[in-house]
Amino acid sequence: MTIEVAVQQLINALSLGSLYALLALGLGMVYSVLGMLNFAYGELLTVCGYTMFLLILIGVPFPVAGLVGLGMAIGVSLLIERLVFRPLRGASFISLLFASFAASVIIQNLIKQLISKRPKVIPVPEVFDQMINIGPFQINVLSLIILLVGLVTLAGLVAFLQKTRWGLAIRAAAEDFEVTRLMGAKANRVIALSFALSGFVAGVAGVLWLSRRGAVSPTMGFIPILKAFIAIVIGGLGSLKGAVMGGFLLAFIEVALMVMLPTRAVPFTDAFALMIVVVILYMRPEGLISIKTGS
Amino acid sequence: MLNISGLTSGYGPVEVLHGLSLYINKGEIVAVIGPNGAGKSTLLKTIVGLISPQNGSILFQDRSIERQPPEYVLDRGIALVPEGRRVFAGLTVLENLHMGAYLERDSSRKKKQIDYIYDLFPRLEERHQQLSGTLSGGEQQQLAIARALMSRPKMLLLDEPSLGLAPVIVEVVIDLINSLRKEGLTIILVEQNIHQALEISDRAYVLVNGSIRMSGSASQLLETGVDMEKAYLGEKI
Repeated sequence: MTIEVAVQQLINALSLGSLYALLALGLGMVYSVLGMLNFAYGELLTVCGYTMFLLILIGVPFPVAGLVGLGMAIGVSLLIERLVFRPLRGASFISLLFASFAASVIIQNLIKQLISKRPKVIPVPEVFDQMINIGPFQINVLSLIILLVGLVTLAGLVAFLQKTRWGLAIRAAAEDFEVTRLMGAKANRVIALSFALSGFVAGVAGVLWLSRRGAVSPTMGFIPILKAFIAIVIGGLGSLKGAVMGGFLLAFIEVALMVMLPTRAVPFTDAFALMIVVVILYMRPEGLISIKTGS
Repeated sequence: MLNISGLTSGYGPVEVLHGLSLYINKGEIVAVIGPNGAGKSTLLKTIVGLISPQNGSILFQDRSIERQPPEYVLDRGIALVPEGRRVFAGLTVLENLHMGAYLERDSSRKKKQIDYIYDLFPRLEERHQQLSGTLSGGEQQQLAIARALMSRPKMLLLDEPSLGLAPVIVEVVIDLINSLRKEGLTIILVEQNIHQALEISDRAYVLVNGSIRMSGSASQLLETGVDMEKAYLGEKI
């Protein structure tokens, strides 16, 4: 492998990694605060995607459609909190699990009924497919955009979590929700904020995900939530830092496998990647970052 | 200052406290002692609003606070140091203190309170950038108390502050409680360790199976130590 190819693959891995890290952070944000996975998380990307699809259909430019899609993801995330999770506050894990599954199925079927069961193409700007030359390296524009948007969003979120009073409350709630309430933080407000952030991240990831795929389908949320879930499990359930690290690690594993596996084995990349994940979890069952020790 | 009457409380359908009544005067240290599972923590959690009581009333400075959320009770001036310290392990010492002053919006007042806390706990100032999970048990207990003090409470509820601490450290915590009282803080001290609790408190209640079994001045109760052991064992007195 030449150095050029290695650098290009490194950019690919970082780009995919920042996407996975975003996805994982969005899913992990709600998990760490509520102790519960939001299984309708993938549908936030779907909602973002279909919003963009409809807007682009009527001639709205791609970036504007992306922003509205992002807004919709935040709105629907808050709506799920309000209609599904809030009425079930204090309910058992199983009830919440089924309720969020139900939300996921309802959104998928609404889209099937109202729009179409079949995948729809979204025309992405042509510039995304072009390559640019940076020094001796040829780099795909979209990979670079994903990398930049992903890193800027991650940095923004980290700054929010580290520097603001609300961010502090989220991090505290991720550690101990009851004690966070004792400190005077309103439970509903902290939870709603975590859903808003989760929706924001899902929206950004959704726009980037669509730019890669160029199509929407009612079940398009499945792969992203799966990747996010694997990433937060590798990183250590409940740790926000771990979610980001898990996202990057998963992407590096996938890209490395795609490069190194013989051509005939490439379709089985996911299987190999999951095997490596199993090995990691065998060695570190609590994930990379254990929330008990915080290290 | 605090007046509880006919308090019935628990988790869901399970009733832990059965019509309990007690009062605390301003400036007092009142101990609530009793065996494991007597409902001591439930009592404190109900006072601060983490648990909504099924029945009864809680008056704090003549205002009814039962069924109010924790942020309201804290804002009125009651802070709880929970059992087992429960500092935010992945947050730094300073961030823990900031969480303690979550309701304080005025940053200069917050800064002043942090300075006051650092005077009281020099150890915490030395370690303010350290993750709280890396502190020793005694330091974590100091942090848990400091965090509660950040909200400038009028009344402090301490849930088993000596639990799991070495005897030397327990002495430090007791000295601290004494000096807080001198500053005019009213304190409810929940303990399993009878003698320690009675030595520093003015009055005490003995809580067994969700009801007050005995009450009186601390010195009185110390003298009737034998009867208290009976109460612990659950015999009718």
